[in-house]
Amino acid sequence: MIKIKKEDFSIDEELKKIKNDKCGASVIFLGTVKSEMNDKKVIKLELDAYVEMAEKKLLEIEADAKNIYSIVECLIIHRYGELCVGDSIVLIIVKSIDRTKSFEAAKYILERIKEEVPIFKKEYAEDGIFWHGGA
Amino acid sequence: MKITIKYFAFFKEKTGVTHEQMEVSSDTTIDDLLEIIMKKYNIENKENVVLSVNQEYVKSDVKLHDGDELAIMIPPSGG
Repeated sequence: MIKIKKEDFSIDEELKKIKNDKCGASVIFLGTVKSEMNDKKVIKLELDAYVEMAEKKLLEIEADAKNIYSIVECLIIHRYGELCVGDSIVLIIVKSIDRTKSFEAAKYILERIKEEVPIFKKEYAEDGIFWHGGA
Repeated sequence: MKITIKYFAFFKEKTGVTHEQMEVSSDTTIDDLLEIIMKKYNIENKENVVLSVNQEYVKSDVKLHDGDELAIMIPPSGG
């Protein structure tokens, strides 16, 4: 299950959506907006997204993770829009029978999101405003 | 042929538009179209440009086809 959206989410509510009692291992990764980056105070982030392509890429990543790590359930949510310090950005929940595979799959999903999913961070910091990755 | 161009992040700000359509000749590559766009919007720095056609990442020497959707972006930084 994947979602790209502006609204916040509840981890408890999302966990219920992929409840599966066969799985003893659930790994949850939550990415939030940091208050400092490179020793500079962050005021807020603005995330732009190519939503249709981001959804397509997340579906590919989810399918690959399921194949490679034999995970049973997977949920990925990525937010976009204006986010303040402490706000949730990304949620990855992976469920499997084997805990090692759940940890590995969550890391694999996060690394591929960072490299492949067309979502872009604009940082409002104390020393200026800039796009991560630049141009 | 008609190409839809979508702009994201830095390029959305520089152009002031989210998308537009352009009519180009049938042998046009992405490189050719990029030149036109960069000139039109007076954008000098295109070193970090990331491109996709029909929602798949591509290099700039790829030929375009009628109805293609070209997206002009910066490197992803989600997560």
